[in-house]
Amino acid sequence: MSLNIVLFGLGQVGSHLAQVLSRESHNIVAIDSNPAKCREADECLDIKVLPGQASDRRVLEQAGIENADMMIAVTGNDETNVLACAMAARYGVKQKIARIRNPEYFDNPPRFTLADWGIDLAIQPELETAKEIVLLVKRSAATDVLEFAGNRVQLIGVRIDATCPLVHKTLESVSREYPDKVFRVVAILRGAATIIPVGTDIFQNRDQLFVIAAADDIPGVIALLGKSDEKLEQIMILGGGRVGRATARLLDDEKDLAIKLIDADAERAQALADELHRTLVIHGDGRDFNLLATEGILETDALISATDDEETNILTSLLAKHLGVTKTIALVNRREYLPLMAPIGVNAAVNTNLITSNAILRLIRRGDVVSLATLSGLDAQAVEYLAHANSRIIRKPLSKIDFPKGAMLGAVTRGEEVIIPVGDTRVRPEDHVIVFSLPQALPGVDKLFAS
Amino acid sequence: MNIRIVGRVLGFIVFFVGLFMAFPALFAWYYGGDDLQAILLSAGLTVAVGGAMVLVFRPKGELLVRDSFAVVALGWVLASAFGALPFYLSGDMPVFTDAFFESMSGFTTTGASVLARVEDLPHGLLFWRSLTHWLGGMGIIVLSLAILPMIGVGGTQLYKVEMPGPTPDKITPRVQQTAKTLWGVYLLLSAIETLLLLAGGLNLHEALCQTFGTMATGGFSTRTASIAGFNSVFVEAVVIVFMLLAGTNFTLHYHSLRGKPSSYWKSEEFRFYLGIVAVFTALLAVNNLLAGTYKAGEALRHSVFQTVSITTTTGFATADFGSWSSSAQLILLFLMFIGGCAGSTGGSIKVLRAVIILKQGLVELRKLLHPRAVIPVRIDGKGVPPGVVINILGFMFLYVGLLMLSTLAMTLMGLDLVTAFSSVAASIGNIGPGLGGVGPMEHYGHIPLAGKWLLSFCMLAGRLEIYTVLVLFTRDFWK
Repeated sequence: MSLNIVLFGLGQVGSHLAQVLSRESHNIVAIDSNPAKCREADECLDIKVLPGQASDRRVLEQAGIENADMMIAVTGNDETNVLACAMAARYGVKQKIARIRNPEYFDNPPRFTLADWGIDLAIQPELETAKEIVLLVKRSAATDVLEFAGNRVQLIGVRIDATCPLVHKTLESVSREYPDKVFRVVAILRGAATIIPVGTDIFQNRDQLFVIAAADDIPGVIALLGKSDEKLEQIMILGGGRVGRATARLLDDEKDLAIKLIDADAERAQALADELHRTLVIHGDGRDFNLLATEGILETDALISATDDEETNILTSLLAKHLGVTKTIALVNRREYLPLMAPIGVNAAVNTNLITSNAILRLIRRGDVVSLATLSGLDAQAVEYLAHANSRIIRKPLSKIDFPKGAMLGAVTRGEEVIIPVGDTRVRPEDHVIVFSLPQALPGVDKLFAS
Repeated sequence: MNIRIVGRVLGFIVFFVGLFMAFPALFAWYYGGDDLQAILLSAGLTVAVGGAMVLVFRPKGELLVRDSFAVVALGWVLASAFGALPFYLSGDMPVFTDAFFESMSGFTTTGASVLARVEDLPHGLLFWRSLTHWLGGMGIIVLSLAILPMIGVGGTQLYKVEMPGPTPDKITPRVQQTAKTLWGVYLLLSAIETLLLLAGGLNLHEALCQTFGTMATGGFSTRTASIAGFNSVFVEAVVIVFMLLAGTNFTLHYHSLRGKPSSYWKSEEFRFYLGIVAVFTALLAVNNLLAGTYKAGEALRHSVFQTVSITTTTGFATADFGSWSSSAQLILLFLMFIGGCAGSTGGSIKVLRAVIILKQGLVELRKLLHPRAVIPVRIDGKGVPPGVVINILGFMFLYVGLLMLSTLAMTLMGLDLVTAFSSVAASIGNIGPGLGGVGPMEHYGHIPLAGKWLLSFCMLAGRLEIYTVLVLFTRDFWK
């Protein structure tokens, strides 16, 4: 079933959403106040584009707001997004999604909620990004961490090196050798190529593996890959913008962490220092090596580079890596850079726009999809499906099911139980199934779960 | 300077001072004292001069920031000058310097007296002496703001200039409402204390005078022996409690009366204030016990009273602490440099400033290790703007500088070091009794005339928190 979607704002998030959604054959009308952006989108994407303002009733009606199923407001301005959703609510649009960046909108929930303004889902891109950064800090060995099925299942990315005991072995031999380790390798990123592996594929040095396992088993898996989750205690954050601030706010209460936040803007540093009680705020340029040395970059366990300039973030991460920092996390919003990050040695890259579109796409995918995520630098998606009583997936054991090429079943959760499926596993109704898939295989997977 | 507005506002202030002289006149008439004529004459003169000023100066233009300093500083000088008239005209203080000193000491809630025997003063003048405390306690400008819809916009500026504390806040949007609210709380607490003292066996005249001395953290009593003269534990207890309340930020009383008594404990300054009282009481009590000055019960009783009296800058006494051990006297001298809370009627440096300076010192220690770190000084969990911290540092320097120079001047007049230093400290801090020659059972009558003028200046500078007075002596002010 295709939806009629009105999309507000054609920035990075808006155009990515438009691209993904139009490929899934939804009908999209996009509105943006910038004529140049409109022209660009009109040329590249299969959507209808209207130049105009959110507050303009005629533009909204021209976009077919009366018959729209969904409004997605992702302009750069919070108030514009709120207003667009409020207006859409008056036209009877069922689902209204807004991007809201200002955390103060969420600070007083008892008094009023965003629902009062007709917003069904408010996405805080910077907070979501900060949450992912915190996950990465906690899983220090991982390049990526995604959580599924109420946090019981984790998908992690790990870059292996020559010390890993798995190198030069096939997947089959590994699973024979370690029968007690329950996990599934769902993808391998080798150079720029994404491989959905089969039993005969061989692990190679410098592969980036994507592994699904029960959250409790993850440390064991990491150990098997020749890594360990070191406890990161000395944390340095560069840049006190929205992401840096949100990350520091999340980490501020953790008593066993020592956090330093460096920002180049005097007034902003002052405001951050007022807000953050435990974090030590330092006014200075994060590129200033003397400053980093004074503040103990050599003793730092994790460096989070979250300035507004992504090239700075990448370079400071590399510098920190060079100086022996255990884990470097860079905020990189240019999607083209993402595949480069692991090869050049940045431990993890987070992308606010990708995280935002993921959150929105999760809501838009049809009802049997519970959760969906795109991994940075990887041309594949992890999708959490809900199996129904009449889905085709439950009719036979997995080995008898003709699973689309380029897709892999990663984990099944049944109530509290997490199952890493084998050939004779049978999916039952109400199971949550996490599938890892290349985009072209996704429609085939959808059919297996459709009711 | 806008002479027309400044003159008019000053006129109103003088006019009010004259009107308030009606109350001592009532007591003079009731007690049949010989001071009635002098009080009525002073009242008439003051009202006439004030009224004339109001009539002569027709307002034009606006009250600027600069004018507000002139209004507040000159307003206090004029109020003290006219307030001195009853003492002078009655012949009880034949030297005008003495009368002015007594009046300034009253309005600034210092409580230093030139009188050797307080009981020699007739009832009307005694009442006026205490009433000047009460008027000056919450501030004569704030009182004028409460009564008059005076000058609109400039009012906020006047309020901020007169209110003690580094960053005075309005508790309501309109300054007149704020002034009324503060005076309302002040009036309410005063009424309660008066009733309690009446219940404690004092007559109305005595009860009111002690209340004025307490609530304004002034210290003028109707007895030479001060509160010790009543020899009543009940009276002492009531006075202790109300001194503590008067030394508390009145904004907290307001919130408490509005049904949020937890605001007391939420205030970091208030917690420090109580902590200081507790610690110093314990220090003094132990000291007095070890020195053998008192037995256990008496040691506690006198230590509590003296600690609270000096911390709140009231200056009442139940014991001659001038005869205590040197270390005990020094402990009291320390207290003279802390004072009450910001936004209270208490004087001196204020607990809030002391806490902020202390925290800034600790921040500097951390900054040695992290030179580029931005570490805010937090009060009640919120960062204090760096400008405020610097303002306080400047305040501290000027406070100490004025103290040192004035002490030097006093010693040049022939006073001994302890008397010179403590008289200046007690004047700038608006406390009253000092040590040595100006101890609690002594008086300021023997200070040379020039010294009395200097101390009067110190009292004013202390009450208006240094900057307001010193700004009048800058070149920029007169450009």
